[in-house]
Amino acid sequence: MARFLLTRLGQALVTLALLTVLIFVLARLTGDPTPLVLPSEATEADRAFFRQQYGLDRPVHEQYVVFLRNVLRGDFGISFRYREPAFDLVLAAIGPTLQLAGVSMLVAILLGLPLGIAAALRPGSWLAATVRGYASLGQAMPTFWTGLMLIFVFAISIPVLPSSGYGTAANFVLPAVTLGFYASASVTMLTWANMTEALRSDFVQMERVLGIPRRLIVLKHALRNASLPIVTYLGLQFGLLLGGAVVTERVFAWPGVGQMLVDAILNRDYPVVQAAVMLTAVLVMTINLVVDLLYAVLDPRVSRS
Amino acid sequence: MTQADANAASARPNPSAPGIGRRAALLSGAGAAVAMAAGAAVPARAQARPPLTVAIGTDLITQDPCRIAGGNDYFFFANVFEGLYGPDENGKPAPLLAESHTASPDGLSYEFTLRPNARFHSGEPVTAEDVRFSWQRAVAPETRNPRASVLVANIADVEVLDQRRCRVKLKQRDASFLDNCGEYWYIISKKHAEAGGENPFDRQPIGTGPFAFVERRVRSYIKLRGFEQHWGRVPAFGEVTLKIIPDDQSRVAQVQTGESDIVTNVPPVLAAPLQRLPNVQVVRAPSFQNIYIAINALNGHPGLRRADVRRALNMAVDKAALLRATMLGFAQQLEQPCHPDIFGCDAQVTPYGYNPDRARQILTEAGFDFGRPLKLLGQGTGRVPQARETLQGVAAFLNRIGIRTEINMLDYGAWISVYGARQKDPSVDMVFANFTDYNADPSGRLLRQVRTGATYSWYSNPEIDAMLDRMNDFASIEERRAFVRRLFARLHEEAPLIPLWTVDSIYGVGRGLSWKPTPHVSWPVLWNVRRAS
Repeated sequence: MARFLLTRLGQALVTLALLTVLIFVLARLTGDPTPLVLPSEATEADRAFFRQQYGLDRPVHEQYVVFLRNVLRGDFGISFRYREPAFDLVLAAIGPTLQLAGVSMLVAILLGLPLGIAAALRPGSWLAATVRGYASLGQAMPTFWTGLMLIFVFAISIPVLPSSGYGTAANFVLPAVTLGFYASASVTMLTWANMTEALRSDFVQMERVLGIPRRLIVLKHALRNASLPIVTYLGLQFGLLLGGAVVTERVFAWPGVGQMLVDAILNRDYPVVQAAVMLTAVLVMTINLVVDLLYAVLDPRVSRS
Repeated sequence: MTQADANAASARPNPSAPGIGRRAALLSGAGAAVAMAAGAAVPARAQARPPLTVAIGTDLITQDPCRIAGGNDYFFFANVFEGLYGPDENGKPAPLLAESHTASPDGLSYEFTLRPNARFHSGEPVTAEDVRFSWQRAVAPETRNPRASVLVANIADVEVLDQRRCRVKLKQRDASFLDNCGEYWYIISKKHAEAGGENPFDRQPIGTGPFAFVERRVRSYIKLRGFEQHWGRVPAFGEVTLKIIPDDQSRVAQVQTGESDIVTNVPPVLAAPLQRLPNVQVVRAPSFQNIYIAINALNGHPGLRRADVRRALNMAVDKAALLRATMLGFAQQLEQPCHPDIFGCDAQVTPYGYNPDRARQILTEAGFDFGRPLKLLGQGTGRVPQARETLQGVAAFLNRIGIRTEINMLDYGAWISVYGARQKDPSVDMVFANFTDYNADPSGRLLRQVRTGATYSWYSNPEIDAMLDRMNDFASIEERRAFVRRLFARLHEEAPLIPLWTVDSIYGVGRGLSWKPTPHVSWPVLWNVRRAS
């Protein structure tokens, strides 16, 4: 197990090192930030000072060395736009994103797992057909549309929930359902397919012959065998939500890191782009590591191999 | 109207006793500190002041009035800070912190008398020493004020005559001085700036405006409170929350649900359905946000260097139809490169009108190369309402007279890099552009929009340059007005751009409120929001 962990950590470090180069170069490819940071009244001297202040007048390789040295000290520089430490800004935004991603995943699991299991237990029934319709709808509906429809129904037509914002438990409901509904469609289909396969396997047939209660067979043995791809998917989906819930964050005015990253890219705020990508990458790698560990717990053959 | 009348009109009596709302002050440590500094009792009626919630589209970039990076930040500064002069309820320049002023006959010095009851949010009175300090900080190299070049750099000295009087001496005559005092020179507290460490305004922006800063959560909200000690513009509301909702649909939903009392920047396509709702009123005000097509008369299509060709392009576009189709009527059509309420923009010129046959004829006579397509650069993101559709419409009208077009839409960052580049890109022939006049003085925009070598100028004409250089060098308003009229008339003939319209500021306002937004500013000034009677 220790070797398994060390290997994964080593891979993560190499990936992070490569990522520093990639994100540094890509951020600069977006262009000169000066026209976006300074007003049109600024003089050439102001513009030159800005470039000098942030080291943008130095050769790119020198800028990279400084960037890397500072990153190792946890310093991602000062945001061009907000004039605050970029890491602090991203750290403040990552909290709301993690909260939303967590609650959304919970919604996806609470909806997807029971529906998938139920459909697998009753193949060909009206229930299975309904679940199939639900999953198709969930996958087909874009999140921005779902979000706007939920606002229309539950904030405007039947005003029981806030339409947007952050800070109270009620604020979580609509964005978490929007994201959770989308993710639950895939969880449902994956659960359904893998449970169907597990329920047909020899060991389940044998357990039935041995008279083991059905509930125990389904929830303890079949579900455990079916869970590997579901856990993989949930890990990937959680990673996606960390940086990719931009549309939902925008629709619900959620002050998360996805929207911040897009704004930073559009405004060429290199320090924030770099800090947001690096922090998100570290989180995604951590989640992947947790998923790998879960694999080992769910299936000991993984760690042995 | 005399100076005294103007003062009387702009300065409403302050009916309230001095004090700070307890609820607002308790909201944050910073707010509490200000409340304690004010050292005032809390009147019972302050607690009864209702809260106001306003949904806005973008967050603030800076809280420091010497580091304003663009027009987006004015929703904050126009409510929290003030200059000696600034816009009144009708958008006209009026004395704010100044009670009165006199100008020297040569126009090189202004003597201001401050209002006796003008106070900072800390409770301290505004003094002539603060005025002097505000200038000194605004021009100090370490402040790095990116907009110092417009007004404060031209101030030679601010003499303190006594506690309430000061004399501002200019290096050169500047007829736009009073107009620009509102947006380019906010008065700050010397005591606060000197005691507040390196970035005093980042921590606690103390101004003199009708609203005092309470707290802020970046990208979520800004909280203000009505400043009851204000010299005249006392808001009817206590706590004011500016919620940041970037998405247009979600922002508009805020007023539909009653979660916000006012929403700003309502796009025209959403304003029309909003008008039909029983609980919402759509309020609009003309702004100075100019929408136009800049023509590359420098190094683009060779035909564009001829004034007759540029005039023909003006005739080729049916602005009225385009305005109806894209802006749904929420804009003011322009014939000249400025709104008629801009100083001197009332020159008697013959509008080009929509005349595609005449346009085609002029182009043919001028030997215009129809075989070479015009390359149009547009803004692809939503900073300007209907930007993409407007440029597509312009291209369609040009196509009708036989001009082929190629459109390249870029995101704002890429667009402004091309539009504002020092060396203009010869592969760009026309640019969809927007430029907001901060006040009724035209010099700031024209100097950057049409003067040779200026940031946004795709045009060069020594005669126009000479006029632009002269336009602020007047002591007499009437002489200057006549001169600026001649300048606009010449620009109309030269047609360096196709003026389209100024966009209306559109707000969704709850039925329970009564509010007349200040015309000609593109940001909400909230002190005159009242409960509907």
